[in-house]
Amino acid sequence: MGFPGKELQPRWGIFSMRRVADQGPWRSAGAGLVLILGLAVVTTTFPVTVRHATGAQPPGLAAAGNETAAPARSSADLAVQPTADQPDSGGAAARKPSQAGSRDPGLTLPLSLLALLLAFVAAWLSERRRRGAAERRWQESEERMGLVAAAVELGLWRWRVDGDRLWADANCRRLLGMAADTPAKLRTLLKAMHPEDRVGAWREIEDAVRVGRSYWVKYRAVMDDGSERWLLASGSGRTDAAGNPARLTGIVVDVTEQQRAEREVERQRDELAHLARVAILAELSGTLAHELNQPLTAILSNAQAALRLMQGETVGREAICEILNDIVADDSRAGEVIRRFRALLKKGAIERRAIDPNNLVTSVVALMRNDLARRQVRLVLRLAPRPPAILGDSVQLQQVLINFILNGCDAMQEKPPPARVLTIASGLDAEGALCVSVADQGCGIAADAKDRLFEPFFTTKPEGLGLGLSISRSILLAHGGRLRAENNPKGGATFSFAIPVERVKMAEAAA
Amino acid sequence: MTASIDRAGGCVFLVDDDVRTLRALTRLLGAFGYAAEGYRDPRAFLAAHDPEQPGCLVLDLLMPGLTGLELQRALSTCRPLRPLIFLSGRGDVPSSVRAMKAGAIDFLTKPVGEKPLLEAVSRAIDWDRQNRQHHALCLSFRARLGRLTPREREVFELVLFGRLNKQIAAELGTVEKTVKVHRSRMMAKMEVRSVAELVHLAERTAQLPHAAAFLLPPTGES
Repeated sequence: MGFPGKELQPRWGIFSMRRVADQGPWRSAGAGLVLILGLAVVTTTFPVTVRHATGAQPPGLAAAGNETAAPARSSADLAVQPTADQPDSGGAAARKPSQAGSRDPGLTLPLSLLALLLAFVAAWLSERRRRGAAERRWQESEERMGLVAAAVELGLWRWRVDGDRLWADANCRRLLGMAADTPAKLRTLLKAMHPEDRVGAWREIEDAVRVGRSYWVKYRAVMDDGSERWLLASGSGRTDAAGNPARLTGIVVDVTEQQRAEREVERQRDELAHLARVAILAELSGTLAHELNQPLTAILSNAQAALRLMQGETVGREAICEILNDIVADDSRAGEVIRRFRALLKKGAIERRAIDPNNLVTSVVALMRNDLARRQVRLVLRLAPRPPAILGDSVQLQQVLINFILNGCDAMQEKPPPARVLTIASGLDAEGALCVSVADQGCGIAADAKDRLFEPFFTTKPEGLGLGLSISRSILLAHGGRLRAENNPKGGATFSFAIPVERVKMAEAAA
Repeated sequence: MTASIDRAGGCVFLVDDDVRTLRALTRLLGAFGYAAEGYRDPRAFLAAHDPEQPGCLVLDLLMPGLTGLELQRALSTCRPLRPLIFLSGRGDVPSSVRAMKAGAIDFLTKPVGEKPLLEAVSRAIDWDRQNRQHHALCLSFRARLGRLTPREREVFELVLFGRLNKQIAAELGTVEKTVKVHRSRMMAKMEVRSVAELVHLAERTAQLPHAAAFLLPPTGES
């Protein structure tokens, strides 16, 4: 069966149904008119035929034929039908057979009424047939819709504010873990949401209903068996003429696999970043040893000095107290060193917190102080007085900074020590993003290296892995920021990262 | 062990950028009877440094501004030479080789215990005392040498080589009697009574001692 083009267009079967119904009355009126004219001709031209037929045919059979008559018959076939009612309404004609062929004025009115009645019956039948066809087409449209929805595993639902009625198709019910035939309310929809996601998702949906716009939310649905599914729900709210929320129509898609893949990518990125940090730590291991040896030396010397003093005849209590206090302080200093390095080695999900960029810089400088001294690099800090906080993972951002600093130091290795100056600056860039830059006075970035700088495994160092900058870039992307590398006008290169500040404000407002 | 330390030998100068380590080391050396003087900034130490003051230097290898090796280089021209003991956070072989080659007394790794530290300090102070004596001798020898006339100087050199008066006279184109006069004046000015004494003095001062000659501990213990 072919589909009329215009019935393919409406999204919802109910709309196409309405269109067919709109055309119905006109068509049936036309059919009725034809029927009336036809009957008028028949009743005036063939009265004898009518009577003969009446006598020969049992009335019950004719009545049954009338009921089952298909509306598709020709007007000639229809002309026989009125005879079925002949015994009830045409008694006078049977009593006067001799007057056959002549006009009987007493019969004209009932016959006309009968014709009119029949015309309406025919019109009704015709309309019913048309409606049946439209219904079939609607059903087909619904089926097609269902097929498409099933193919992409799309769940469809609609909710009317008035009466809290929720309609959901089979897919939607399956995705939300709803029973197949139970009537549903909006609460049913919300019940499936993971408690942690419910508030946020519902706020989004509520806003959409209130102002009548569309929304996109991603949330976890909890099934009856306790399993979780990631669902992406989209929909739009409609308001009535008065501007009040009227209904909500939406789709639900299972994005669990997609979400899992995204998580996997994130996990791999974190893993790689962690490996890179381990590599950095190997590079900084000398620094770690030195950082730990300082307090250990102080503790040992202090303890041995105290022991020696105790052996003497006169021991100053105050002197011993002073020594013990220093030992305590140095011990906590050693602990701090370990904590700082362990934080860098920390593995696991990134934590987004508001970070003071200057703290970030000073903590990295504290980590690398000895490395810089060993490489005879002088450090210049140009930090903005009160920079806005940035939102991010401090360990990963520290990692980016350490990469910048190590690169800068490597670039200056060939320079004489007085020329090894590294400048770290913080501040807002032209676009209002918070920028932390590390400028060296080294050899700069070669023209052919510039485009490949952030590629994984691209390195200009003999012992480099070529992962530092590519990982730094992926870290910045995950922070909604960006990385920049450019040559300085007076030699050397500047590496910087920028993170938009607006995001922080939003996050703080939300928190 | 501690009893053998000559605590009057001199001051122990300490240079370490870490103020706590500096304080602890100063305290430790002080507890063992040394006069210890700490400096956080190697440049400040260099500015205040007086080579005439007896003592040794204990310094950190890694310092911002001026590394231990740079400080060693800067001190290498001063006389009497200052004995150095390096402290390093890590056993950096190339650095330790360079430091020892340049005449360091010892190269200790942190955290350093009192025994190796005190032993090294004691050795450094011994070295410093001997070096100072030698230095003083050299100075006086040079002063005495400076008082000789050119002719007396020529006679001095020929006597050192073991020439007889007759040979010297022939070489200088003069008579033996004149040589005898020059020789006795030279001996008086050099404050020696015999040729043997003169040779011994000259041998001892012929060259400034290299630090490496004093590297090994006197008793052979390490």
